[in-house]
Amino acid sequence: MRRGQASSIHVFLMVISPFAALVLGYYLHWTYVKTLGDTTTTFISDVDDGLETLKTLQREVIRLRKENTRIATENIYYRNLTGENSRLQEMLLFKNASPYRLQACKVIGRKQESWWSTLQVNIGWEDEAGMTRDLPVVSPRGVVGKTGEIYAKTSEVILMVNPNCKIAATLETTREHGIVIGGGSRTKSQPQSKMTFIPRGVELGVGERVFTSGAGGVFPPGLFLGTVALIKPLASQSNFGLYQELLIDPAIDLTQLEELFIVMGAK
Amino acid sequence: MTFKRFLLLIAFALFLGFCLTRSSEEHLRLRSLTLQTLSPLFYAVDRFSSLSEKVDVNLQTPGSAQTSFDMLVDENQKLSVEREKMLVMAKENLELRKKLSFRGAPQFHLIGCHVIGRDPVSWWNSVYINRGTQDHRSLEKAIYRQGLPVISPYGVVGITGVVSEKMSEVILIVNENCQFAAQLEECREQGIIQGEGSVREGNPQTRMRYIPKETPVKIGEKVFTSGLDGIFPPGLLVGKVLDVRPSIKDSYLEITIEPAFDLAQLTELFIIVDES
Repeated sequence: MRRGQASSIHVFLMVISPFAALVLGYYLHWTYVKTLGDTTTTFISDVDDGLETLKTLQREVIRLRKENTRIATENIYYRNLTGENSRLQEMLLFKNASPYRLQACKVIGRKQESWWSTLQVNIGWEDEAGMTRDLPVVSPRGVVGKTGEIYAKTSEVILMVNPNCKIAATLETTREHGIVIGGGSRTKSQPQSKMTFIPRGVELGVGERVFTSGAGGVFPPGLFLGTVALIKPLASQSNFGLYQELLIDPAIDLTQLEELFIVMGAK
Repeated sequence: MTFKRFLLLIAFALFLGFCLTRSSEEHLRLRSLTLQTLSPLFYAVDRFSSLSEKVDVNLQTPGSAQTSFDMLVDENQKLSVEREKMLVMAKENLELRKKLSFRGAPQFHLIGCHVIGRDPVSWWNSVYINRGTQDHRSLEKAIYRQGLPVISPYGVVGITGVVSEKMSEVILIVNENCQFAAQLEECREQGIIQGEGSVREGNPQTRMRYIPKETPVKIGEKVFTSGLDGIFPPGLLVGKVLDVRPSIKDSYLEITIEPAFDLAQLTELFIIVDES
């Protein structure tokens, strides 16, 4: 071999060998390189996904905080519905069983300094043509009072403990008649009514129930008025001992009135 | 005093006289206009504050963010279950009201809002919220006005005061101009809540009036709205009794009520509107 020819082969080998090595290496180590590349890509993708997930998570945290505040507020408002539900169910049962035409109404106001005297309801002559003065006002648990002034959209209710409310009544056991008048003494926070014109000889007992007698023509008979709280000694009575006088605890708590019925007449 | 200063003083006195001699309606309109003018400033301050809140959230690690998320999801599920039950009951009550022929059953709706500022002069008296007459649906817009009840998840906050297009004032329950009907939880006695107007021993308080002297009111007894004022629905927590004294002026008790929550920490509030 000539000298020039040998050196050309060397040069050729020197140029070719790195490429050959690279190609060989490429074929030999392709799997490892690919795995390394894949791992790196996955890592970067994972970090990116992680950051995106964190951002989404943080956005969700803010959204959930706001939503929870809203639902919690709605729930404290709705909590009152449980009591309302039982009251309305009781009212519906009473309405269906009653022989009278009853108009439901809601208490919308009462004077703070004389809350036991009158209150306002959301029914007036524009809503119910039959609305007049002196209609009985009741709840499923007993008599509340009677209507007073009637306005277009509202009406006044004179409570049974108001001295201007007089109801013909009868005692449950003795069937003796009398008149229940508001304005009895106010013990603790619950005012009372008094029952008078009961003959002296009649035997009375504390706790006896009192119902409307229907004699006055205003209240239908058989509505629960209250129970006897106290039989007044003759000396302390206002009618010079001609009749017996009783203090009556109203059948219902007059501080807790929300929905009532106005008795419009027979069905 | 220079002539220029004298003129300025006269101009200021005239402006003050103009403001003070306006009728209450015009006074309200002036205040509404002032709120409208100041609203961009309030919104800018609020945006800065909400940015700091976002930074605070973004500083969470993935682990703590996940924990907060899980807790909030749990809480959300519990609250949603409770709400579903209540909604069923609300529907039932509506049906019962129809059967009983009640007139105008109330249909309350909550409008969410965010506190964007406080009155710098009287910190405890009022806050400003990001709701005005412009942001609502046509129905809400028609009924959005002064005197609407404002609540939070913890209880009663106050009532809306001056209303402008983009923001409104909320008169807090400790402000003496905020009055509504309330009821004591145990003795069931009803009275009127009125703000004290001044800060005593660091915490603003409110008082309950027209409770008879013989009423056995306990310290710590809770107070709820009674609904008789036609403003607030019944059963919302107002606060608890802090102090009871017989009044020397009349035959009622003087009851101090501590608000149900810290009025300095108000953020998310809700306005109640009756759509019936």
